[in-house]
Amino acid sequence: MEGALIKLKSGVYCRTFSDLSGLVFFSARTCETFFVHQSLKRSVNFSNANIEMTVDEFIGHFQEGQNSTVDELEARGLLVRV
Amino acid sequence: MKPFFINMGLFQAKVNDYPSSISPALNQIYGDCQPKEMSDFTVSLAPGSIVRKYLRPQIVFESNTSIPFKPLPFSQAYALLEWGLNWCLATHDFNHLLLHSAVLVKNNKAVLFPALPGSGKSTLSCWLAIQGWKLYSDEMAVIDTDSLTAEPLYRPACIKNHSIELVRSWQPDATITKVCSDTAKGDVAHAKFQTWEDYCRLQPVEIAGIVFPKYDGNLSEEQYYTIAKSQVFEELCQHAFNYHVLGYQAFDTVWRLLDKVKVFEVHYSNLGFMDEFLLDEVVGHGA
Repeated sequence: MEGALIKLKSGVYCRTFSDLSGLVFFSARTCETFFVHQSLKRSVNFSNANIEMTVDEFIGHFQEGQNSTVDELEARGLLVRV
Repeated sequence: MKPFFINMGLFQAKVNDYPSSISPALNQIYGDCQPKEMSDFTVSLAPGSIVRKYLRPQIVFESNTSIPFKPLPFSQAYALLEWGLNWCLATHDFNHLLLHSAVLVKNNKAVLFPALPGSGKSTLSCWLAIQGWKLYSDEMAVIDTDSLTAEPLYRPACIKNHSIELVRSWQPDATITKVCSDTAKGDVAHAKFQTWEDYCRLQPVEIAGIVFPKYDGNLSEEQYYTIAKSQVFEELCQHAFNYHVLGYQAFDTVWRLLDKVKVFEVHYSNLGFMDEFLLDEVVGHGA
């Protein structure tokens, strides 16, 4: 499962903060903002919905990455498994 | 009665109908502003009902036929007008990002204080204004979504309870309206720290920092620390009046703003410390 590819859902934006304190997602469809308050090792390149990465690679961005983050983002309709 | 024009800078309100009791306050605060040809809002303050005209009189704020608030006691008419003008801006300006925040400027750089009620934001804003900072706004940061600059508003600071006497003691000749007692926020007055002429010299300025001030009179030593930007983003979203209207534009604006500014939480008991702290850590001492 960790090798599965994920990408942003269309209409969803993701930004990393310069202090690597977390991620923020915005859904243009629902106008909802969702925060992942987890320290990062490096910024996450999810600048557009065409970029794909594996679950392992995504979790690897976090200091203490967890699979549940991906599950929650997927449940909230922000990420999709390709 | 002739309409009174309130030119707030970016916007103008035409006050069609108002009780003569608020004329002194209107003239104190906005008497020197130069009206523009066109007004953005038409507002009025009218008695609640015929019965309420005689029995415990009330006053109603109306803007372009909307009545956003419940009637208030007649004696609170001026405070209601100021709160009504805040409502007009917050619900109609979709060309800027509007944050519930004070904006103070020195050395051509702005600091935002997006604090919760009761944190001492207005008292701090007045103190800094008396120390020579430019008060761009006591209530609402108006941010250009392209340039990320803060725009000045020609509005007074709303001071409450004990702060009213404090401001008077700091600046005995300060322009302060008559106190409205027993409002939902306690005793309230409005203080003005610049003339229209001063205001006209103000320009949009770069935002250098976001500071969450927390006043604690029992503190033995001032404390400050940086806050995670992801947490500040969440706070700013909650403080934005029009985040959901601007949608992606607001999201992107807040992110770009946060990415370039310094963010601090400061616990203080000494106002003089705040002045020094902001100069040292946020806006710099200038040329």
